[in-house]
Amino acid sequence: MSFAAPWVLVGLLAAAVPILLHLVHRREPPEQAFPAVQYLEDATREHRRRLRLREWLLLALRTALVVLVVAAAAGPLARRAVPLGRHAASALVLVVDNSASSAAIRDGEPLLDALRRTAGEVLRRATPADRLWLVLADGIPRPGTAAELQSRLDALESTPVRLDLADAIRQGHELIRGSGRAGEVVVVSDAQRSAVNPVSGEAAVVVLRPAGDAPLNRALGALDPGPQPWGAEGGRVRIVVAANDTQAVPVSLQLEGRPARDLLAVPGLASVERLAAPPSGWRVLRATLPPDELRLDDAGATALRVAPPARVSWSPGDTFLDVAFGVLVDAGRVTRGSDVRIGELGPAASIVVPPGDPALISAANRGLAARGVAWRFGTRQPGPATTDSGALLPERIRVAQRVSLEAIGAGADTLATAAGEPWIVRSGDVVLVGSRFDPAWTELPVRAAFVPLLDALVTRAVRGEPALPVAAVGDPLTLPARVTAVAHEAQVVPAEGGAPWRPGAPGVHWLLEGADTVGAVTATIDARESALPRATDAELREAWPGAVVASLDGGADRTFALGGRGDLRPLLLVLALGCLVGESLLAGRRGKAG
Amino acid sequence: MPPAQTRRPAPAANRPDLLSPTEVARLGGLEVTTAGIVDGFLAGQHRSPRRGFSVEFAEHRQYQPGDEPRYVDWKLLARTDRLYVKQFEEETNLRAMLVLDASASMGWRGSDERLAKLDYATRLAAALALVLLRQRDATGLVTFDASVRAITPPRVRSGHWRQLAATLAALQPADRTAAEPALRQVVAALRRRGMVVFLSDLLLDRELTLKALKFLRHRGHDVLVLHIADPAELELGRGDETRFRDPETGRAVTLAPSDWADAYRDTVQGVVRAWGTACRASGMHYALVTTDLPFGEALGRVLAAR
Repeated sequence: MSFAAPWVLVGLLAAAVPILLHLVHRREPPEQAFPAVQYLEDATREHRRRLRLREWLLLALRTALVVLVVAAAAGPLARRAVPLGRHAASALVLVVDNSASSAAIRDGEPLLDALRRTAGEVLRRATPADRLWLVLADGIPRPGTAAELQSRLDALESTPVRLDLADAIRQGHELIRGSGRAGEVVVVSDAQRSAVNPVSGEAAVVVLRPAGDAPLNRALGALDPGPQPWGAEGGRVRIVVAANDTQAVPVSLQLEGRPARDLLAVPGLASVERLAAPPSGWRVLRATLPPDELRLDDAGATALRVAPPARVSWSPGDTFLDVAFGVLVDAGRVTRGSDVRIGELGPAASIVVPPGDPALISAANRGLAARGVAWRFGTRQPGPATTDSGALLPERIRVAQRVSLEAIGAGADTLATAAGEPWIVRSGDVVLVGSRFDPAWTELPVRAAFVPLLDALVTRAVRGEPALPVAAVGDPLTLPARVTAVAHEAQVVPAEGGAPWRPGAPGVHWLLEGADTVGAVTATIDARESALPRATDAELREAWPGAVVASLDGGADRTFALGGRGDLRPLLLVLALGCLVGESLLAGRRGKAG
Repeated sequence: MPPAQTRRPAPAANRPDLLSPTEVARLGGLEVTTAGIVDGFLAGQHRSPRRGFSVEFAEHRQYQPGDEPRYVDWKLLARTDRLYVKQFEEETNLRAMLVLDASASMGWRGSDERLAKLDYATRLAAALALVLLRQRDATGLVTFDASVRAITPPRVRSGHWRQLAATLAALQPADRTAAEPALRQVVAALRRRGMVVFLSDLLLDRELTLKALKFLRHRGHDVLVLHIADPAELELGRGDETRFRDPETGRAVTLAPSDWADAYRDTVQGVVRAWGTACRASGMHYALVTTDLPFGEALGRVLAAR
């Protein structure tokens, strides 16, 4: 048991008042001559014991009355709910799982409506003395009164963001601990098995979940247009349907500006469809499944970059570049031209290697500085090194000679490192490489990774590499440094390149650098949200030891009883009233006693 | 011969025997007020309580209402035109002894509006003595506390009442109570059958006192026990805790009257019942007389018991 206002217990000293009064009263009674003392002795001899017992009982009742009133004023709280009463002033974190799965239809209505109703019932049980927070799928705890939180509930909609219930519970416990009160976390959720992760220790959690099985759901698991940009030859699209059955699902695939194409996809197996290239530029590729109980994951979209082959020029006679670009030309990835200069700094996009003569480095740096490049060549680095694994260069490549690359301004990207130091960097449409494409400098020209690296540098890095990350809605990702804004559904929002950013809605988010589109983020609903099967009560209790699991219907009655401790005040006041009545009866019988 | 007097009874409102004892005490000293009480009391009787007239003439006495006409001395009436009755020597066969408790407890009163028990008892004893003497009953007095204070042997001669009244008026309450020695003195004083009137608050050793009283009864005496009590001794009343101290013994009891009122009343009633039962069982008379009872009413009880 604890007390809301323990300092009030000082008032228990008042319990000594009846005792002191009793003693003082007994000590100095007035004296009166009375000849019939003999009768008094006779009268009291028989009844004195009973009366003394009653005196002590009266004293005990009065003392108990004071103790009970003082104790009630101190706000005693029991560990559990107690009879006669409302719950004690406590803290309650109400987690309403309005994640994507809450949009599933249940009994002819969105599951969210049932969650909202139950959450409302929980809030109606709150008292003004309670501290309340509402945590939604976005994970942000919102403090407020029951009325304020109810108004939020009324406006609540399903969101494509995924909610990790374990994280929400941990966060709730932190809030409760910070409040200094006893309390509990009430989770109102469809209790997807995929959202139930263990929480260490005993958890004061009440889980209110729908009864019955989850509906069948089929979702677009993956929509992947492969390496980009697409060239004139088009590309292949990989489609994966996720479902808890294996029945083939018709999928409608539509590339922007082209008629839709239908195909059958077997859940769990990848289906590949070859599409012809549309006109160059940024396109949107969409896939749609037949509607089911959860509509949010029945459609998906991804960004597609279609570009003509880069026109490249390099120093004739460079054997390794000749061979590599020959392969790329044959594959249609590049053509000869002047869009990209390889080897030294050109008037347009360039991939620059350090000059073979160290004396020319200064001149090269002056040229880079004149172009506003944020990098410059430094000094020769002693000793061999090895590249570090990265997205651009997965293999580790030995480097015999290299020149250090020094950043001298903003907007500098590091694309690959060797020995932890920048080895391939980019600034605008200029890429600097720390070693010459010469086996005496690095083994890269003779490695299989050389051709893909050149392809990537030529088609993506220096021409405005299309950053095409795929992320779940709500997940953080770092925007490319040159991004200045993000556009989605014709709405452009300024953004800071290099800073974390979270897509707020599913679909394609265009990354802009000024007026130019430099990439796109394909935001999808977290695949785990599509897995609707629910955790069993046993699984919930195993994951959250001590949790109370109840149905959405009527489960609100279980709240404010687990972590929120019982308010003992009504009970104590009733007992005090009983003492008062007993005292009055006994005191009233004093004249009749004996 | 004293002149014949035919006095009309005073109105009831003015009769001292019917006034409250306190008011009677305000009227004057014991001697004066007692005569008024007795006169009023006798005037209120339809029949004279006198009896025991015998054939041996002793003296004349002024006629009083209630006297039997056959004792009227018609010759004297014819000569003097006044009414006298003849009294005979045998009338003095009754010898009465008043035994009065003058212990410290008798000096207590529960309220300033009432007489102390001793004051009340002395007046009642004086009135009783006067009635008896007027009936030509030899009347004596024994006062006692822890021991016998004074003994006035029974006499019937004129002036004896004044002696008794003076003795009573001079009484002051003191000391503890022991009735048995006084009652032994009564045995010695009453050699023939007579009447013993025992006036006390009975705050004494009941067994010992009853034993002595029964002995008197055994000797053939009529015994009348007058239990003199202040109303405050019968009902404890209300109030906070108080230390009650016995003025005789110094013993004290501390209690809250409110708590003990019922028990105390039961105890007192039990004591009264016990005295009444014990007295009746031995052929004695017992009467409870509270100090707020008009003297006339108290006298009526005494004489009715006779």
